[in-house]
Parts: sequence; structure tokens; C-alpha cells
Amino acid sequence: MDDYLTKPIDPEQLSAVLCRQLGAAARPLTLAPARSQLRTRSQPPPEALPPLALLQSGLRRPPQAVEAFSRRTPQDLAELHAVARQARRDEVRRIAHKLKGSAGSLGALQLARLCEGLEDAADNASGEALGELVITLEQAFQRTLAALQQEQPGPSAAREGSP
Amino acid sequence: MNVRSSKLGPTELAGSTLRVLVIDDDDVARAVIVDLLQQEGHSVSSLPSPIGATKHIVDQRVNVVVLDVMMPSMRGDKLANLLARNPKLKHLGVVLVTSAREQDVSALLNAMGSIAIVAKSDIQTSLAAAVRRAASLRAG
Repeated sequence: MDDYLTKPIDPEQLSAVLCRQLGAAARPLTLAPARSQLRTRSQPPPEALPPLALLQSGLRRPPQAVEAFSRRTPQDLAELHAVARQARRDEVRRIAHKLKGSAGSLGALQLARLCEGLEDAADNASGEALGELVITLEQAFQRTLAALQQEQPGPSAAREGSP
Repeated sequence: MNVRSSKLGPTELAGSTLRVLVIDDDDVARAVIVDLLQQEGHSVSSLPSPIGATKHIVDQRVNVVVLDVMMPSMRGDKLANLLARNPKLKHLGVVLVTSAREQDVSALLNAMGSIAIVAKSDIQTSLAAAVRRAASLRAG
């Protein structure tokens, strides 16, 4: 095997792999319209996503990661509140990006997608609009936390989830 | 741990234990990745930053390093390029993990050549295979 792609196939990634494998004989594909259609189809709105992705059989969300996520995220959200209201865009992007990584790695898809939306909005939105997005993030975090506690009803998860 | 050498052939790699180093400043993602790869049977160590990474890789004869792209002290893709140029590490496999936006991942894929890149939201489904493949490519 010389190379591989993961599904869903992204036309631009496919083009890059073909160029790598075929060298100068291949020209990059121009697939911008197809790519935008693909993204529209493959990315449902955040509210359509479950708070937690189901895991394949045999996989698990490690308790120490759940605990770190439950403990740290309220601090991140509080910090986000402060910097969003002041429209400190770089800080908003930085914290939202980090939270997106944590959420994504745990399978908290809805929260991860909302973080990505906040990252995008940080370019232009007003402080008030950014603050409202942070409130949406907090609500999604509460749903994620509830789903995590349902999945791992151990004493530490329950303790960390308490207000 | 049952690794005799950092230079493993493709046949040996099929079901073998690899020595994997995970570098990610995000403690949640780091814990998820370490746990996943340990469940796969690998011997996994981790660092919260790239500081001291090269020494650790050489001393511990690491087979594959899993690097977060966006870290405050040094970007993972820059570190990957540095590691690739180190003659002592020519058998080291590298996998990048990222929560970058789709368009940024495409640009990274083009820039990083054959290095595998896994989205953090796909870690559970794609990382284990990417790690084995990275080790296999460098050993072959």
C-alpha cells in the first residue's frame, strides 16, 4: 500500500494523494464546487449532532480524560466569557480551539462543532454576539457532561459534575 | 514490553508492541490518545510539550511519535520536519493529530507529504491504524 484516504473522501485530499503518487503526470483537480457541496452534506448543524458520539465496541473514554475535561472546561468557559465580551479575538480563537480539541478527542461532537463556529465568528462578530455563542457552548457542555455522567456514573465523574 | 529493536520489519509490525511517544499540551486529548494506544498493546509515554522530545525518542528508542499540531512552544508540524531531518531518527514514524479546520488540514496534508494526519474527532476510529502504518512505512 503506497497511500490511503479515510472516508468520507475529500476530493482535494484525493487530488493531493494522486499528485503525490503520480508525480508530475498528475495535475491537481479543481473541485471547489464539489467540495462545498460535500461539506454541506457531511456537516450537519451542531444541534443535529449528539452530545457524545457512540464508541465502537471495545473502545472507551478514559476516566482520567473525562475527569480532566469536566474539571477544566468550566474554567475555559469562564475565561471565554471574559475575552468574548471584550472581543479579544485572538484569545477567543485560542481558547475555543483548545476546547474543540479536548471535546473532539472525547467524541463530544456537538460541543466541538460549536467551538469551531466560535473560532470562525471570532474573525468578525461583535463582543455581544461572541458572548451569546459562549452561552450556547455552556449549554452544550452541560448536555455533554450529563451524557458523560450517564456513561461513567463513577463517584469522581459525579463529583466533578456538581456545580 | 516486547520490542527488541526500534527497527522493525513490516511482518514484525503486524501485531507487535510499538514504543509510542505522545506529545500534546492538551491533557484531555493526551489522556485519550495514551489510553487508546495502550489498549492497542503499545508501550506509550507522553510529554505535555516538545521540550526534551528528541532525547526521549533516542533514549527510549521510540518507534512512532504522535504530535499535536497546535502547541504553544512549537508547532507539531515544525517538530515533525526537524525529526525527519535527524539522521539518528530515520526509522521514526510520525503521526500528526489536529483539531484544525478542514481547509487548514488540507493545506497541512499538502505540506507534510507522506506524514499521516488524524483529526482529533477521529482519534478513536483512525489513530491506531495510522500509528501502525507510520511505523510500517519507516521500517520498510
